[in-house]
Parts: sequence; C-alpha cells; structure tokens
Amino acid sequence: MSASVIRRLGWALITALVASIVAFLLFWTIPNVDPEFQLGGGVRGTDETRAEAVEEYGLDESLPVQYVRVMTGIFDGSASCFQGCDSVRSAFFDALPVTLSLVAGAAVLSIGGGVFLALVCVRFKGRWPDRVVSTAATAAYSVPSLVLSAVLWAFLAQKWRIFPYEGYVPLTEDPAGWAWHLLLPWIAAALPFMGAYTHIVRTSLLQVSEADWVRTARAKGLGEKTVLRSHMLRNAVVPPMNIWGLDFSHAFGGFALYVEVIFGLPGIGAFMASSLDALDLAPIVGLATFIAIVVVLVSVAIDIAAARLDPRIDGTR
Amino acid sequence: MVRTRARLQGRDVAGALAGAVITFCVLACLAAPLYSSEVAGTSASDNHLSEQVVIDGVPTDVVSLSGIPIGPTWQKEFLLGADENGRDLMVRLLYGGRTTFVIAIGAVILTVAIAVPLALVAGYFRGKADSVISRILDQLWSFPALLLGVLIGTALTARGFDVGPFKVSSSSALVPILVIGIVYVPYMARPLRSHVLSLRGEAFAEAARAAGFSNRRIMFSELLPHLVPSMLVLGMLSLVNAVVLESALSFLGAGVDPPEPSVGSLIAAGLDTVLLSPHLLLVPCCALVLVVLSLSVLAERLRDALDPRGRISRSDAVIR
Repeated sequence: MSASVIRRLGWALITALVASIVAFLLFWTIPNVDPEFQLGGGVRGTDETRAEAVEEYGLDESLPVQYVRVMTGIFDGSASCFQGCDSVRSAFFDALPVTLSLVAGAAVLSIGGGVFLALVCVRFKGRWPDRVVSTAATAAYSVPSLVLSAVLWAFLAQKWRIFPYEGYVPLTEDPAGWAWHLLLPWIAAALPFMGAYTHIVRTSLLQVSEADWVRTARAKGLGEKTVLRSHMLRNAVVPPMNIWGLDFSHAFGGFALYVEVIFGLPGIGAFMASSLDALDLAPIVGLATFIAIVVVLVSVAIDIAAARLDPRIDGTR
Repeated sequence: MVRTRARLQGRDVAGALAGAVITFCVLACLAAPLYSSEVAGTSASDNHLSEQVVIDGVPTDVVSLSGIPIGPTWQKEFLLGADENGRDLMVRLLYGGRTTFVIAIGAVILTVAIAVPLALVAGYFRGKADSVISRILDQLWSFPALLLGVLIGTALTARGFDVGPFKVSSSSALVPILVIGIVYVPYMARPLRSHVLSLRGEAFAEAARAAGFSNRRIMFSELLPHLVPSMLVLGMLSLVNAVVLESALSFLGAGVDPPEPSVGSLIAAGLDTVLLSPHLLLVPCCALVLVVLSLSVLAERLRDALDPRGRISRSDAVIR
C-alpha cells in the first residue's frame, strides 16, 4: 500500500464520519414535544413512558455523548430498529449482498454495453449505424431509471407475470434464480447509464483516434479492427473510469433506493427507504454511515484500478 | 459569437422539436388553473366518485362500482381519465408538472446563488480559502445525491427548518427546493472553480489587478461575465438533474407534501393501481420522459453552442 492510497483511505474515513454526524444531527434533533404522542397500536404516551424512553435512549444527555452512544451501538451491533430488526449492523450485512448484486450487474451491463455500442459508432463513424446508435443512446439516457423500473415492473412482473413479482435468491443457492430475479432491475438501472457511456466512450475514442500512435498503427498496416480494439480502446476507457467509479459508488445511495423498493428486493436501499418512512432513527443513521463507507471504499478501489490501467494517473487525484 | 449564432441557426429538427415541447409543457403547466376552471371544470383535489360523464352520448361512471376509474376519454372532461378517487388526471398532471417545474427552477437558482460565489472565492483567492471550500465541496460530492436528498428531505418534512432568520415550514414547497438546490452545489461549483482558476491567470485579469481594482470588483465585474456561458450550460444540465431528482424524492416520499401532486408522486400512486388502470402510471411516466428528453436535447445544444471548446466535459453532464 502506497502512501497515496493510505491518504485516500484517510479521507474516506473522514467522509464516513461526516456522513454519520450529519445524519445524526438531522434526525436526533427532530423536536418531539407533542404532548399527545402516540405509541404503537394507537396507545397514548404518558409522562411515564416518556421518562422511560428518555432513560432508555439517554435523551437527556448532551448531543456529543448521545452521538458516541448511538455510534457504538451501531458498530457493536447492539442498536436495534424500532420495529423489524434486532441489530442494525447484522440487518445491513444481510441486505448488502442484494445491493452488491444489483449494482455490480448494472455496472457490468451498462459499461459493457456502452463500450460495445461506442465501438460500433466509431467503426461506422458518420454512417447510419453511428447515427442510429447515437440517437438511441440519447433517448436511453433521457429515460430516468425510476420510470423504467416502474413500467418494467408494473407490466412484465405484475400484470403479465413473466418475471418474479418480488424477492431475491442468493447467488450461492441458485445462480439461475438469482439472475432471473435481478434481470429486470439490472436492465432498468443500466439502460440510462449505458446511453450516457455510449456517448462518453465514443467521444473519448474519437479523441484517441487523432493520436500519433494510432496513425503509426495504421501506417504499420494493422487492420482497422485491431487498431480499434487493442490500441485505441485501452486508452479510451481510462478517462471514463472516473465517471464509472463515481456512478457505481453513488449507486448504493442512488438508484438502489427506488429500484429495490419497486422490485421488492430486500437490499440496503429498500431498508433505508422503509426506515425513512417509519422515521426509524437508529437504522437511518447506521445505514447512512455504512453506505458512506461502501461508497468511499468502492470509489477508492476504482481509483486504484484506473491507476493500474494507466500509470500516468496518480491514484491520489 | 458568430459561431454561436451559426450553430443556433443551423437546421436542427431535434433541437427545434425539443424547444417546442418544453415551451408547450411550461405554458400548459402555467395555464393549469385556467385549464381546470375553463375546460375541465374541476380542481386537482375535487373528487367525482359518484358522478357520471357523457361519452359518445352514453353516461358512464367516472369510477365504476367495482372501483375502476375511467380511462382517457379524449374530451374536455377527464381528457386523460380519472384516478381512483375520481379526480381528473389531466388537471392533476398539469398541477403536478407546475410543481415540478417550480421546484426544479427554484433549485437551480439556489444552486447558482450558492455555487458561483463559492467558485469565485475559491478560484480567485486560492490558498486557504480554496482548500477549505474545495474540501467541503469534495465531501458533499462524494456522497450520493439521492441519499443526501432523502435524508435532508425526510428530516425537514419531519421538523421544518428554523435557523436564525430562515424559517421554512415542514410542508412548504421550499423544502424540496432547498434540498435539491443544496445537493447539486458541488456539481456546479467544482467545474466553475477550475474555470475561475484558469481565468485569473489571463491577461485581462492581470491588467485589472495591475490597475489596482479591488478584489470584489475583479471577481464580480471582470471574472463573472466570463463565467456566464458555463453557468448557463451547467444550469441547464442541473435543471435536467433537478427534474429527475425531484421525481425520485417525491416517489420516495421525501419531496412534495402528499395532497399536492407532483410528477414523482403521480408515478408512485400509479404504481399502486397499475393492474386496474394502467393509464395512471403511463401518463405521468410519459410526461416525465418527454420533458427530460427535451430538456437534455436542449442542454446538449446549449453546450454545443456556448462551450465549443468542450470546457464542460460530458462527465459533468451525466444525470445522477
């Protein structure tokens, strides 16, 4: 591990810390002074129950003390949800594989598809395949994945029952079922990104095509296909890697939220959405912290990969 | 400038179409109250559960006895059909679109108002000011926009906002404007800051410094005008993003307060009732796609026209 990687990880830690503090401050300072506040099942709260809650959650202590208390509870696994989970930490780790599968599949699909379509565009530059693909790409990235998820789920899964209505099958148990359950979510999440990446990689390939070494390769008598695949592509995918890193690290707190809600996938996005719905404070703060950690770790990993691919890049940014 | 004009005047069917669609949508949404009172004869929240509407001379229930709302009638009343409460979908769509446009435009204005001074100060003074501002922007930037949006949105709708002179009630439309406006600050401020950094080294900025102009005058009267094209392009791009983010926030219940329709909440409602009445999902979805498509075509044209040297990269333009 080089010094630059350690420095990046240090900043990553600070990002997670800031995220947890912001989430804590946002939600722990919501005033709760309603004298007629309700407990579960329509039961009125009394001063006694209020005193109990203050005692149990340490609400009379200062905010920094409460923050430390909440965060230790989240990290040692003792903090529980108001309803639904015994431990925020273990619920997060149960949900993580679902979201990882969703995001990884969408990344592979959109990056693979985007690079392939960009190659098609550049191979047939200015002719009809280029024009058709470019127009289709603009159209694809203008369809928000929220709309795509809603329409695909509503018709293919709910109305015509072709795809599963909801749920997730672990990869280790049944790979085919895993892919079958995730196919629609992958498509819904990946299509807009695929459109955007087609344009980005196409632009990048066209920039590379003016480089000296490309002219040299052509002058050597190499076929257009070989030049495109082994000379241009490798260099053309380096600049977009930053964008991919950003998009798919952000995906854990981005499209994962509504895609998982719509397709009934029990991942961290759906967990976060339901916790926010119920104003379930411990999982909100815990998930914000954990998601921030995942986001920064993924982006550091992709920066390192980009540096490997192109030695001119310094991994520190 | 000559080049700009030539590009704008070139025959561009897609661009012209996109412009026409957006103009029509904005005008239609502005005319929502007019449409609801003069054409549809109902408001966005009026229920017509037990009423009938005449189609081809046949009186038909707005909502059938088994609870299925009427589909598109293609006439004055219930042009696009009704929802399960017997409310006119077209009227709701227009009001929802108006809310979405107001929020998106308000958010972009807020983003510009915060991002431009930050970018000017960071890029012009460099040094300590720059490193503090850049670190804060980086922190905000490395956090997913949607998650940040739902966190702040949910907290604000639960408690309102009350810091010093700024008071925002929890159900106000200002909440989503505030949320979306804040979330996109780094996406605008970071490219503008690097633009300012390169501008301050140019001859006219040096001349202004040599002439003894004050820092404020150099920043706002000398540098700022050069930022305007970039601001317009980035503003248009964040407008597209703001429309998409607003729909996602409202879909997740962290945006517009429920009884008031917005495109996102119409989609969320349509998703629940799609089995019996698919038009409730398809209508707001199509409207959103049409608006986003047109806005992003316009944003692209604006970028081609105002930023021919490609200062603003495509990576700044990706919808997130």
